Amino acid sequence: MSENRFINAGVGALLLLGIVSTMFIAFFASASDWKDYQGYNLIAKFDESAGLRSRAPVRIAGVQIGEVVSVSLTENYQANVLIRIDSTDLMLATDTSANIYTEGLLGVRYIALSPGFDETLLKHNDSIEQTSSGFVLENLIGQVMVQAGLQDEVTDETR
Amino acid sequence: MSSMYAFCDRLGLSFRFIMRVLASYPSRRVHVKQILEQIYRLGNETVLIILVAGSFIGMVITLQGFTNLAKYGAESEISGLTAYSIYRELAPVLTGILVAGRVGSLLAAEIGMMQINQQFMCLEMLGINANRLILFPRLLAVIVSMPILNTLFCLSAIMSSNVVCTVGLGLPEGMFWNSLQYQTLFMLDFMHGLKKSFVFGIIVAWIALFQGMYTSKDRLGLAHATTTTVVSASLFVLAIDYVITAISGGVMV
Repeated sequence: MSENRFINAGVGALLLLGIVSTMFIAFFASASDWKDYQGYNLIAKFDESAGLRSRAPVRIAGVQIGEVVSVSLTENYQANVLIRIDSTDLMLATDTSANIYTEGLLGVRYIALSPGFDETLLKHNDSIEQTSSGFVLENLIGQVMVQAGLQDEVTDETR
Repeated sequence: MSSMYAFCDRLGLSFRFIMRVLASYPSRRVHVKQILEQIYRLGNETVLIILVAGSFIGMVITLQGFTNLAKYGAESEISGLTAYSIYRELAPVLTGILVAGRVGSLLAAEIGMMQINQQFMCLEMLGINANRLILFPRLLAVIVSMPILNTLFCLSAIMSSNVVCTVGLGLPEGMFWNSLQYQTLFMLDFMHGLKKSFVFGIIVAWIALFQGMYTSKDRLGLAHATTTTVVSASLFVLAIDYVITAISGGVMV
């Protein structure tokens, strides 16, 4: 009988250990995506969003305040970026502008918001009107190459 | 052709066997008591080997990843990398293989010995349902303890990785937890591994019980049963791991 009680205690301890370690992993050792976020969503439409992917950070003055939920295509062939702001206290004016920036030259893309000064505030599922797209390195290189080529031609002619 | 027939015959036999075992849920107090005893014997006594294996795997992944990430100056992401690979793949697969080695061989040898000594026939003569008393508790014990062992593997790997990072490699504690909380998702990554380990529990217990139950009663029967259990359970764990990852869109979004 005493041995049986020992077994019960052992099994109970194992189950408890399993539950406690799952809780630990849920709260401290992973992003808690099981939780309902206290926040709101904004939409920003960009002409070019190359390199921007879901879970990319959204920052104001370099401080992360949310993340990109999804990037999809609108019927006007623009990129429709759904942004989640992680706090309900953080209200943004309607003339807030969104830019796609890059960390380093070839680094990760993120969205930088620069707050506006309008009286009216953005609500849940409102869209940010002023956006500027990220640069694409290939386009930039292409432009530089074209310019260099033109200059070569010019120097050839003048010779 | 006849070997193909024999293979299909054995597959059908194993399927009928697992259905029979699953249908014989406990109906009396003694069966529930058996379940607890088997969880203790098969789950609790496997905890130590899982913890030790997990801590070494966590440490070695951390060291190996650190030397590679340091080339690109991304040392701060080391814990996310370690945790991501451990939650999704390494914890369920290695737990499955370790359990196949420890619990699978134990079950196959035990049940095979009982079969060779004709104890099952004895139980049948006494009017005791062997499926309820012997097989179902063992199956359920493995299925219940497998996800718990998987969680413990994850935890021990994370903790040992933390020790290596902070003490051995001199990374700040906050950097470690920050990267961990950003890179891995609970529902997507950890639960994916937990689902896998649940399936692996069924696979390992099924193979072990079947091999033990249908041991041939000759000189090498028991040896053959235990070897086949460990080998085929490990291979099935690896194969089914690939299948689950492929069908659940395992590529990072």
